[in-house]
Amino acid sequence: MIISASGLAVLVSVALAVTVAAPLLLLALLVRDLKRGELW
Amino acid sequence: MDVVESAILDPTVGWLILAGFSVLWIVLGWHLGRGAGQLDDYVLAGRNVGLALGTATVMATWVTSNTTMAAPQLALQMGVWGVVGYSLGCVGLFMFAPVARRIRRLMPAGYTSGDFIRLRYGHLAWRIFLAISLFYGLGWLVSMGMAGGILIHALTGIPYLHGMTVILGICVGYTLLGGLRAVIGTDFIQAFLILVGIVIIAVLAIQSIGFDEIHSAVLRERPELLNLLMPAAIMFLFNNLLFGVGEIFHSNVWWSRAFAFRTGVGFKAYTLAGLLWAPIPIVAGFIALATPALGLNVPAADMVGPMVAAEILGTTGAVLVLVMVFAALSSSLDSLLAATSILVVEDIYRRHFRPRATAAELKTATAWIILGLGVLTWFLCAPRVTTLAELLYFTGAFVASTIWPVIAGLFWHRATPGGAIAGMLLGIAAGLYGYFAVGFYVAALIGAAVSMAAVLVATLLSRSHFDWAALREEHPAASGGIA
Repeated sequence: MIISASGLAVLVSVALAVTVAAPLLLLALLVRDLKRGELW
Repeated sequence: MDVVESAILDPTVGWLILAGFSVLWIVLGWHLGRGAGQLDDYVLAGRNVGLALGTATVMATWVTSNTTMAAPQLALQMGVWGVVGYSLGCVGLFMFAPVARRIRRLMPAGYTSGDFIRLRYGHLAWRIFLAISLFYGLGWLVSMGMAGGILIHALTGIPYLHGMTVILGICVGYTLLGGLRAVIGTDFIQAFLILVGIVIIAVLAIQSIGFDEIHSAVLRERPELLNLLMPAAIMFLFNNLLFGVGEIFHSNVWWSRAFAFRTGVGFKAYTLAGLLWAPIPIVAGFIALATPALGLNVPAADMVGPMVAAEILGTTGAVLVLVMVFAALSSSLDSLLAATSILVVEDIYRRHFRPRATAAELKTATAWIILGLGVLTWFLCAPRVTTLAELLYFTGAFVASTIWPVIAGLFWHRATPGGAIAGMLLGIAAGLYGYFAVGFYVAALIGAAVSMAAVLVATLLSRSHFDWAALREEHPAASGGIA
């Protein structure tokens, strides 16, 4: 049972999308924690 | 093909990059550590870490040399399931989320995973657990020290020993200066570098070769890598899941963060970090599947990731890979140095030799142990005796055998010391048998299964009722002096 080219593309594209969103999310959380005084 | 001949970066450029980041981490470590006057500030970052820094430190620490180097290596050994299996390492983070919350609730003044095992199961189980934990911690340190040297050599031609010495020395330096505050603070920036770097490399790889070309080249030359029914790969998938759970559940790297996070943060930070970490091995591993399309001859399996990236992206790509993996290695090495040092100081130095040590003495001892661990790791890394994956997976049987003793001990009144000891010892024995008789990809699976059976049987037969209040032990040095 061989994974198709489109199957591979979907797998990698989803993974890539989450990886792109990750630094943005971390930055948003950092700003939120800073505003609340909850960084440390 | 000689690795030095294949190096994309000039050694001078490599040295400049290493020097730049070394200065950055050291200055940051010093800056962040200025407020770490008390023992709790130095070893547990003041026990008040928020969600942003908490999530980033968990994610960055779990992105290790193994994610950036062994995941591509496994893609070429196990194919698609190897990559997906590697990403199941996130399950350990998800499962640890409720555990972190429980740890913070039951042991608000705890310091180490050893504290829990000692108070919950007694001294024999504690010593067995300590042996496992220290063996694994040292194995992880060595695998990353070696990875640093290998990667820098593959990308820049800088001799293995020099690269390994630099990366180890820098991590020891800033961890020594700032303790866990420095580790967590630098982890945030390192998480950013890792994520941005991996996105750029993957996007450029897809743009320059394309999914169809990569798929058809693998199908032509290594069709087994696309086979979703590859038996060894399926076993590896489950094995890796349990290995990851075992690594996280027993290791003081993750326990120390549970103690360090502000109340209410642990569950969210571990869950979010799992979500953000899961795609990284898939993206990193996918890059290795480009090898057949590129016609690359990879001289050593554990160099495939950086070599493919450098081949696709040229000098800029090589710089990016160097920066990204330097961040990945640093974020894990510093965490291990910090967590292992407090484990050694609290569970060995204080409990066995200096029960009345003051907070100041313990802080000084922690700094010396960080330095000592760095030196020991250097001596073990210097000969470069085995490949990364072999070294890593040898510990699978050991860590997987701790999963059930930890879970049962945290959540079930009836869990017993006998069950925990039997679970760890029988799990290790069975897992090691699997490692040598079948392969590295079943060691954790067998170890966890046997350990689970032993712990469950002992718990079901038990009539004991553990008092959770026994875990609320006051640390005599917590307020700055001895009791």
